[in-house]
Amino acid sequence: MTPHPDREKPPSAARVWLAGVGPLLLVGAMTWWFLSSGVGWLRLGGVAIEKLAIERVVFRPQEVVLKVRNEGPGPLSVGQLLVNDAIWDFSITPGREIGRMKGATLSIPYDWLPGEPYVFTIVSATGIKHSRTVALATMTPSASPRSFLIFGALGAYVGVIPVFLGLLWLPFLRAMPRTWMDFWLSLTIGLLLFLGVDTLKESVEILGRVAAYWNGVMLVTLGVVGAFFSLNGVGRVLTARSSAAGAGASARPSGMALATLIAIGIGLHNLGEGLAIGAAYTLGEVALGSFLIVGFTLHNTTEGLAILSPLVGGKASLRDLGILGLLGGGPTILGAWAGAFTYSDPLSLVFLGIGAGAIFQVVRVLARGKAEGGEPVIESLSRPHNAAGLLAGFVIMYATSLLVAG
Amino acid sequence: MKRVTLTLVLVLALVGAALAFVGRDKEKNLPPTRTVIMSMKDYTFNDQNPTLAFKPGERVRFIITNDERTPVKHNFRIVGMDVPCERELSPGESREVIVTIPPSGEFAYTCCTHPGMGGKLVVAGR
Amino acid sequence: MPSRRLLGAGLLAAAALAALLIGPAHLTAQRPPSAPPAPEIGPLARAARDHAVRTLTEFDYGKATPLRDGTSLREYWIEAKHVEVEVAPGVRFPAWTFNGAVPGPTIRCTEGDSIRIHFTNHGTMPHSMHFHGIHRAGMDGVFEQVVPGQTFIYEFRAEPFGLHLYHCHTMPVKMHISRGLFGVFLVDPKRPRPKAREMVMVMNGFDTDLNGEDNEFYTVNGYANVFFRDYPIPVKAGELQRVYLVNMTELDLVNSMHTHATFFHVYPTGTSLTPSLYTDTITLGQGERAILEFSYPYPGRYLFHAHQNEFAELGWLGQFDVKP
Repeated sequence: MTPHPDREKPPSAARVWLAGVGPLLLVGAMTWWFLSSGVGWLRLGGVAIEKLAIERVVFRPQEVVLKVRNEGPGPLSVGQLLVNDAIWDFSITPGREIGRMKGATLSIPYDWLPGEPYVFTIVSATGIKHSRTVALATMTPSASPRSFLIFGALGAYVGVIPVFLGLLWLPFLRAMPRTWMDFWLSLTIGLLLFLGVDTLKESVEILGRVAAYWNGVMLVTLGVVGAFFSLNGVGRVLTARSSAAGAGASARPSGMALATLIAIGIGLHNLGEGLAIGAAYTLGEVALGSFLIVGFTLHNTTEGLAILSPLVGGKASLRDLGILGLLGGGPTILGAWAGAFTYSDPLSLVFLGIGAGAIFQVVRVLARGKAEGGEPVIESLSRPHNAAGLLAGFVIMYATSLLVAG
Repeated sequence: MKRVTLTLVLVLALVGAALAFVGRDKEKNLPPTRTVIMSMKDYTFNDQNPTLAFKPGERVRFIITNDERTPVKHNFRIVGMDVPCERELSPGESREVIVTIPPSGEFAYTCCTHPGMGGKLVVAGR
Repeated sequence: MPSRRLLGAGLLAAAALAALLIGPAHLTAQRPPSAPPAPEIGPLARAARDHAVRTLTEFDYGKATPLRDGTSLREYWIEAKHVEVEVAPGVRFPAWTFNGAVPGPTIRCTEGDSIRIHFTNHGTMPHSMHFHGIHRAGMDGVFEQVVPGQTFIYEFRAEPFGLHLYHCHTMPVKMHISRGLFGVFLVDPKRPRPKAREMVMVMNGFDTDLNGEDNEFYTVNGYANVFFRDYPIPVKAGELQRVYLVNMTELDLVNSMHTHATFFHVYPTGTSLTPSLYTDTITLGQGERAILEFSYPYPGRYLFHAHQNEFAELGWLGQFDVKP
């Protein structure tokens, strides 16, 4: 009957802190005890498996630089370096001993030939080999004004211009009858679905060569989930602003708000594409260059279409279209720069995840925008003309992807 | 008025720090404290391709001479230490390069034109 | 007023920062210059280098007791033990060895001598010693495996004369040899060979990642590139050189030796006093061996290496430093 004394007043700050930090301290103490007092009988023995990743191979005139990282559970010592199975001289900083998670840089005086394959092998002090193969040696682009211009132009050609070209379809779409609009919209959704899955597929290739230490799959998931929910949040803000009349969360976002959202999402996706193109040069996969460029250009033209879809009903000034085009295509340039000058596998995984997540969010926005009067999205998309559009979009992207295959 | 003063103070502090950082680069103009002669003869450096040891941060002057008795050109580079190939030396010619030894590491000095001709440079001591 | 105090504090902070950053640079400029000596190579590296160089010219004649018929009874003490060795600069290998290093000691004797080898196994698994020679069953080192801690005494007559070898014959033999259990068994003919400067060269490979498929490094006398980088072999121009060349490479079918700028006479297995070949490149299968005799007419530095250049580039490379 009498109330519990503790319910009368809130617990003191000190008690709250203790309650929070206490368990952490106990875990810390346990760990310290295990590591220091050598609780040997708990350790079941066995030899730690070494893992040295050659993260980056940079080709300079008459020199090759390897950036390596010790991704194993214990320290590692570099013994010998082999280039195409021949012992070769090298410099190493900060030193031969590489601690856990630490990196080192090897500089190799080597007269490499452009276009030829090279296998770099580091034999550690324990005699284990760690290799990386470069399919085609190419001079690594260094951040000079000229190369900035070249990769910037590349990004513009592949990303910005095609998106603007896609935006030119606006008059054509406006002239469409309503049911055809639905078809085009569904086509766009199919297009984007393909792009989203395709982006994830690209990350799989990188997952194959990045070390387990990075937990690559989680990096991608981080990107996907992060982009999806952030964009959703941005969408809600844009929606709230556009429906300032105060209709509430259920208000349909205006065409411009929707198009902006889609443009942002596509922009994020194109960041990943620019990264892929820039990286293709640094990783010596230049042979893919021309097909890659053609393929991406076609891809991105159809992306302009996706941005247009919500605008068909309403008004859109040239300035609006300009901004949308830049939002959607511009990031390609940034991605190309990043891929060419500062490529890193793990970061690339995050960007690809962001690209995929952004696309899926755009798909959701478009699909919900189409669904009339609370009809479930799946049902709406299953209507014959919608389903046909979906399939058509997918098939078109598949066809253009054959050009990018590799 | 207070906000302006505060920002001004912060800017001054940042500028001061930046200048200090730039001024720090004075190390580049320190005179070398050690001279090492690299004589290239019979396709070797100093007859044995010796392992050289230096302290971190030392300023070292390398005098590179081509002492071949036959018309063979040589060169000198240290990868990873910003000592590039530069021009080849004919017999009798010499050139000089001054480097600052990095804080740690092992480096390979080589002749750019003759693979296998070269040795090690080790940063030892603290 | 707060703003003035803030201004003062800010300027002080900037000055302190500047002092912190510029100061140390001046301090290092005043440090007296000194040149540290070249660092000592590590103990494993030194041991590997020294052993490879010693194996060139050291022979174990055993403890000799002259016998009535003019021959000798020679006794040797060999132990098998597991030792970590350095096989290439900076690369270690968990070797199984005779007497602590790869290759094992060169056992030398004269044709007809009575040989007694006290073999003790200080390893963690059975080992044995199998000699290439003519001997009775029971001394062959195949069925008679020596377990850890046990000692076995091999007794046989040294015959025929020639350049032979011994190795462990415990299954899997490929692994036991590959891990380093081998050495040279040299039986001199009763009438000694002409005087020459003699060298023992044992060719082998090390499978450092133990995958049983390929060798990562190839060596002469156990240390990659030792006679190229660490110890170019000094040779007198015009002097007769005799190389006892033995192939103990596992995982690769053949190995070879090629000398630059000179040709050699070949005595296959050393079982004849007449050479059968005059060439500059000799290929040997696993377990094969040959005596090479040559001289260098002109002074200078000359390479010698496997003509399987993939082996040469992985450590089987040396030089003769021919002095006038």
